[in-house]
Formats: sequence, C-alpha cells, structure tokens
Amino acid sequence: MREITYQEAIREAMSQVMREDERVFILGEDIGVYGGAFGVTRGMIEEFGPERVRNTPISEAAIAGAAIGAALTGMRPIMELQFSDFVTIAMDQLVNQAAKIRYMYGGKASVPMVVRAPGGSGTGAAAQHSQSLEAWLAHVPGLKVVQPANAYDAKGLLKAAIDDNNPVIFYEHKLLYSTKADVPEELYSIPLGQADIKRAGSDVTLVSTGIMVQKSLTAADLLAKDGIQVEIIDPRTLVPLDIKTIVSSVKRTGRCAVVYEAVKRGGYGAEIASLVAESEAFDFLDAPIIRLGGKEVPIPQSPELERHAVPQVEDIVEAIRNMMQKA
Amino acid sequence: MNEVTMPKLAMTQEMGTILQWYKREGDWVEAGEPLLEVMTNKINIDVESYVDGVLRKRLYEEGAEVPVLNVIAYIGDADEPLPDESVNVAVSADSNHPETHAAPHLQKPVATRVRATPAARAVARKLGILLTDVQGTGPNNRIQREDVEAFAISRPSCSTATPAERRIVSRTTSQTESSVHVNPKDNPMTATPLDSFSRVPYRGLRKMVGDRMATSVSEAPHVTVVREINVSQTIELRRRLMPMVEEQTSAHLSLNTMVLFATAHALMKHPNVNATWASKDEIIEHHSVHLGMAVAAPQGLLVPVIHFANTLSILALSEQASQLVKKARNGTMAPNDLEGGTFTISNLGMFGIESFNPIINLPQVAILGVGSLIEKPIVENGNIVVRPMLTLNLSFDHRVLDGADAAKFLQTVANYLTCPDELFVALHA
Repeated sequence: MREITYQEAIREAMSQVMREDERVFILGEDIGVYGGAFGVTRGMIEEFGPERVRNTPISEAAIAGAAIGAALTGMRPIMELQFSDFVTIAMDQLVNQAAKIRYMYGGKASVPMVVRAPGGSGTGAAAQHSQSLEAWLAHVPGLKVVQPANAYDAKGLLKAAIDDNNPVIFYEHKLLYSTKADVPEELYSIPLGQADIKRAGSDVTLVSTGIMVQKSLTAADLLAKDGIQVEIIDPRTLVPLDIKTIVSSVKRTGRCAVVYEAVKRGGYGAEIASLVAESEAFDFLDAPIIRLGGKEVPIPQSPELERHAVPQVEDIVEAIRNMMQKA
Repeated sequence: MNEVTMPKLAMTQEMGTILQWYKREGDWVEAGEPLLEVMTNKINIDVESYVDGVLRKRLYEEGAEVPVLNVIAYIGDADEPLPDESVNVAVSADSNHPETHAAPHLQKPVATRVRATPAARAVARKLGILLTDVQGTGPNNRIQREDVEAFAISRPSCSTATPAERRIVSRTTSQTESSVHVNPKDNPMTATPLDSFSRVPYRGLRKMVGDRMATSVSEAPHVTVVREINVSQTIELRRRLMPMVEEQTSAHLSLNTMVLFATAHALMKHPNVNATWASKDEIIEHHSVHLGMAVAAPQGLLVPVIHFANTLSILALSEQASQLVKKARNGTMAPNDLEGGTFTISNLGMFGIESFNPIINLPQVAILGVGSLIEKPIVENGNIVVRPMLTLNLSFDHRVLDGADAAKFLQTVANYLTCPDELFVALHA
C-alpha cells in the first residue's frame, strides 16, 4: 500500500466520490485555482471544472446557506471553511436550518452535506484562526461531528460523511495535513460512530481525537518505558459517539483520561468523562477521571505561548504519571 | 459544638453499646474525664471527653447499640445552638421506652466517609471488607482497588471475628432481666398454683456466641472424628517436668498444657488444618500457630489466643495459658488477646465429659475437643490392663478438609501424646 498525506487523502476521497456521483460538488473560498487555504482542493478545478468546484464570496453564512439549499434539492455538497473558526458566521444556517430541517419536515426533507473545517492551533495563526469549537456543533442535535486523526481515517470517514444523509461537520487538523499513512487507493468507508483502539494497553484508557491522538501515542511510548501501559481510544466521531468501546476499555483499565485541544471548560471531553462516570464502568474506576484540555485563553500568536495553551506530549505524560502515582 | 462519637476500638468492631453515661446533659465535662462506658465486641471501655465544655446533648440512651463513629453526644458552650440533626435523633434522657432504641437508624452515619475509588468499593463489597479497615495508598490516601485486594490477602483471620468475647457487665444483665409471675387467678385452668418464669434477653456476649455458633453450624459442613488415646507416657513426662516448671514459674503444668503443646507442633506439620477462611474463595494456611483456648469465663465463653504457640517452650506456654485464663476470668482481656486465632482447643474434661462434638470457631477450619482423663481397662499385648485414656474430638470443616486430612492431623496429635518422645524429634524438624 502506498503512503499519502492526510491532505492528499481528503482530496482523493472527494475526487473519487465526485467521479462516481454527479450530485457531489465542492464550494468554498478560493478553492479553485488557488486550491483552498491549505491547498486541499488543489488541482480539482482542472479535473472537475468551475461548475463542481465553486469559488464563493467571502461569506460563510452564504456558503452554508447555498450548501443547505443545494442539499435540499438533491445535491450532496461539500463546503469548505478556510478556517473552522469561521463556522461562527455559518452558525445560524447550520444550527437553525441544516440541523433542524429533517426533523421539522418529519423526515420528508434531508440535508446531506459536509462542512470541511480546518481547525486547531500550532501554526501561529493566532486567536481567530486556531480554535477548536467542535463542542459547539456536537451540542446541536441533528449535526454529526467527525475528527479524523490520520490519513487513513480521513479518507474513510470523509466517504462516510458524504454518504450520510445528514449534515456532517468534518474537522481537519491543520498540523495533520502533512502527516502520512498507508491509505488504500480504492474508496472505502469507515462508519461514523465506530471508535478505533489506536494502541492497546492495560493501565489507563486515554480518549483522544484528531491531533491529540498523535500526541497521545507519543506520550504512551514514553510512559511504556515507566511500565505504564496506556490504551488509546480514538472515537473518530464525536457525534455519533462510540461510548461502548470507551466504557469497555475503562472497565478493563480502571482509569480514564480524556485529552482534547479545545478549551477544557465545556469541551467535548467533558461529555465523554461524564458518560464514563454515568456508565457501568463507574464501579471499575480506580481513580478520578481526568481531562486535559486547552487553557481558558484565546490561542496566543507567539509560538511558545501557543504551545502552552494546549495539551502537549509532556502534559499527557505528567498527568498519566500522576494518575498512576502512589501517595 | 464538638461531636462525641462511638469509638472504633478494633478492626472488626461495627457497633458499640452504651452501658452507662457518667454525665448528665448540662454537666460540665473536663477534657480527659470519663463521659460514658461503652461495650464493644471485645471489651468495656470508658470514653473520655477530648474537650472541656458542657455535655449539651446525649443522643442515645443507656443500652443503645450504635454504629461506630456515629455521633452520640455533643459538647459545647452552654448557650451554643445544637446542630439540627441532633433534634431528630435525640432520645430524651428520662424516657425509658424500648422503642427509643430504634432511633439510631434514623441517623445518617456521620464520620464513616472513606476516601475510596468506585473500583475499591466494588471489590470491598464483593469481599465483604469494611473500607474503614483498609489503608489507602493512592493520592490523598485514597483507597484503591489494589489496597483492598492487598488487605483481603493480609487480613488477620480475626477480622471475621473470633467468637465470643463480649464482656457483659452483670449489672446490665440483671437490669434487663425481668421476672414474670402468672397469677393462677388469671387462668383458672392452670393446674399448678403458681407458675413463674424469667425472661432472659438474648443479647451481648450470649447473642454473639450464639449467633456465631449458629452461623458456623449452618455454613460449615461439620464432621467430627474421635480418637481415644493412651496418655500414660505423657502423664509420666508431666510428672517429671512438673517440679522443673513449678520451680521456674508460678504456673502449674497441667495435662491441658501438654495437649496445647502437642497440638501446636502437630499443626506445624499440618498447615491445611492451621488455616482460616480469607474470603468465600480463599483459604489462608498459616505458618505460625495462634492457638485459641475456649475458656468458660463468668460472663460467658471466651477464646483467648496464645500467639505463636509453636515457638514457645512448654514453660512459656504453660505460663501464657494460665495468664490468659486468669485474664479471661477477671474480665481483663485486651482485644489483642482474643484476636488472630488459627485453631481452637476446647477442653471439657474438668466437667467429666468424655467426648463431645465441638463447633468450629469460624473462620478457622477445625477445632479440637478434649475430654476428661479416665482410667480404663484396655487390651495391651493380649492382657487387660488399666491405662489413663483421653478422648480427642476433632471437628473439621469438610469444605476445606477431607476425612483423611483430619485423621492424619489427629494421628499426629495422638502420636505426640501417646509417645511424647516424638515431640522432641518434631521440635527439631
């Protein structure tokens, strides 16, 4: 199998689906000749033409509205946000329209669309271009939220997101775009709501998604040297969430840590921690569930400060060590 | 406002009974002054005040049985307001209705909160372990699963409690006993002119021993193997040792001490008999012998324990045994004297009992009942001769031991007592 990057895997998934399904098209700011803010759609306008690779005005509300309308009339649009931060401008369309229509019309209408949203910090893009607002969207019934952690998952999950008849917010992490993985050339689908055990271990269950999976894996290698075996569960999709896999892991390990880049307060990791506490894993917990999340500050521009604003490998290592520590 | 709580004096103690209050509500109490007398499952003890102040409220009446660490009284300034909950559980000092004894159940245990993880709690529930007995090694001394598991393995056999041993003050008994006289006039059909009976409450030490016996009989499948042995050589040995022992100690070397000595060493050879239940699915085979002796104390059956009996010379054993018996009879046992037994010997010989089926002292797995020494005609080398005979009755828990295991152990005891020379060989083994 060949290795390709996360960015290439996303482009490949879109292109392959578009070759098969005429209803699928992409729209967003500067996604044509420029190839999008992160070059994900580079080359697509040459293959599919301006009808199916549509440059839009600088208005996320308009892009979302257009996508919803197209979806309602039988198309399967994929819209790109230059930065996931701008979802705030599209929020009314997504929350009050996309998420509600299927319910309000008693299932007679549906909104099969994907919102591709590059998120996260680490690029020095500062406060308005580095956020992780996935919890906002995960809160709204009717929206699905996906956070792939590697190129393989990205391709398979994007295919499933496009096939889904509901609006799906597809979070891509900017720092992952250049990471490589073995990715099959043919199209494949990874069902939404199916967690992946990224590493098996017996001492602690570490739940993380997106970029935090990479950091968790590195931390787990370091912790293994101390004899601490960390099991890393990547739910891959926040909505729907495969809580079963998490709970069964916690029942085995007796300890649970949740790591997420978003601001710790009110982050989706809090939801996961709560679900574990409520679950049958409760009686197996041998330590308080811990959360590692971003600091309660806007992401700073200074690279050093930016590093400190979100959980890093050493934070994960320290937190897990403390969790295993004796008094 | 300072809380006075029911003290927890032993690992296994769950309840304490208030025998008497030394102070009335409104009395001034000095720190260190006895406040009340409490009976635990081991001893009676005076509870002293930790603070100076006015005894504002007594929450329980004399005779009430209260869970350990529950608040039983408040000490404070004369005009300090009482905590709200004391009003609900308060038992009026001058009311004497038996119903007031139900009051403790209304009260939420106050100080029994333990820092433990859910996993530790789940394991403790499963193994029937009190978390208050477990030392936590996690952050903030939190009890973790591992701590409970370690405790389960290491807990002394006594933690499921040696029997007996609740010292009851005769005063309590006499107060609660009541005589009833039925007047024949009330029932003209009665043939006898005056029928009378006494109601004796089933409580305290009587109840504790009784309940434990009932549990043992219903839980452990008992089998008793019996063996009559010729102890002439042991008696001869005792006669020779007697002056030496008496010279060095005040203790008199009894035949019972010889039996204790032989049994302690026999147990070392049969660790499967020197065992206790750790949990429903685990038995601990002890590598030291802690020998319990059933003693008929004035207040009831007590089983003081001779710790590390296997390491003691016959001199030391004799002395310890007689001291423990003395303590048991005087009611001056310390909790430690009653804990940790791995095997029990019950001797009813002094009452002329030849043979009986002793009940196992759970969590132990066997008990030896010793009968009285009786001279009997026996056949020896084809001749009828008179020999001092002793009957040994070994009851064992058939869940843990089979007949052959028990028989082999009893055989070792019998060999040591019929030919005590073997004991000296065993000592060096």
